Amino acid sequence: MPFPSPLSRRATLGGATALTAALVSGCTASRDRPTTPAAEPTRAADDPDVALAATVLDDERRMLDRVLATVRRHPGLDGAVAGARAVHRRHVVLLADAVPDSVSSPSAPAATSPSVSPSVSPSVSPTGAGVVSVPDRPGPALAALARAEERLSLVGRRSAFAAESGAFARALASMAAAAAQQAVLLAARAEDRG
Amino acid sequence: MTPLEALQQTLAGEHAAVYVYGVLGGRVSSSAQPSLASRIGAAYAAHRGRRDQLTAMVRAAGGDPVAAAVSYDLPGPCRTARQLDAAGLLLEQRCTALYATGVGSTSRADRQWMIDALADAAVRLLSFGGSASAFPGAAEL
Repeated sequence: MPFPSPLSRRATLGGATALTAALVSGCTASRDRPTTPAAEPTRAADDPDVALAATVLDDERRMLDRVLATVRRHPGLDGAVAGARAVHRRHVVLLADAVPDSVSSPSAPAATSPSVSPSVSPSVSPTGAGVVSVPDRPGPALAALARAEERLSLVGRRSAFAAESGAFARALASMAAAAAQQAVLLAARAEDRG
Repeated sequence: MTPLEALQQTLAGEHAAVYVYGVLGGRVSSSAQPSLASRIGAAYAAHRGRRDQLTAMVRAAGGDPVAAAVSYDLPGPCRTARQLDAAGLLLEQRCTALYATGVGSTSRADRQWMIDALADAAVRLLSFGGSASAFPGAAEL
């Protein structure tokens, strides 16, 4: 099919790797300074894309917490939300790589770890910010997740628009598209359950 | 890639999508396969609209919009319902990759257009039997 050839895989990878390297190098400088942990974020967050990545990382972690809380409340929904859980875990891993530790929020490092048990995990944010109320019935619980995915997608699109780096904008837009997919799938499953 | 090159590359992809969806639409029976016919019809309309918008965007960027080819190879036999779905899925997958590249290569309103097109195509490919993924259009991430 004579579609124009897209960017080569290597070129795209190179872009993403360069992005991560650029973001992480910003953190090395601030880490070397013997400042208090509270003072460190300011420096690394001077790069607007680092600050943006930290914000999106928080959003993605909150979404993951919401998915995990839903499964804890409704173990029968494990299969229905497995796709969303896998998607947001991958988003969190990619963003955590790009955000210096000094900038990332202390919440939910457990959710980042791929070794976390896929069924039940006590990884709700210790700050309490990640504690979400899950509807009592499975159908509405899925519908609530679907709405959260839709909101995440809209916020993610705004972030992609605001990103300075093209490679980072592309990654954020792709993540927003992934959330849009999950919103549609979860809404359909919610409807199936009535 | 310059912003104009990204717009032109995406426009070339839309020309192909419009052509192929047009052919697919001629091969589906709206009475025997109403759901498939409606999905193909919706996709055709969406990509035709995007093609027209991109043509204007290329002009606004000072370019001469790339023309459509006389014809395009179909992605496979495209006869059975399953093959038609597979063709739609392939088209949307290719478009998500083009839009994602476009997001990274454009700014302002053009980037916003690419962002929205990417999400739309990512959802549309589900309707053709595609699977959700963590990074639509940017699978290497």
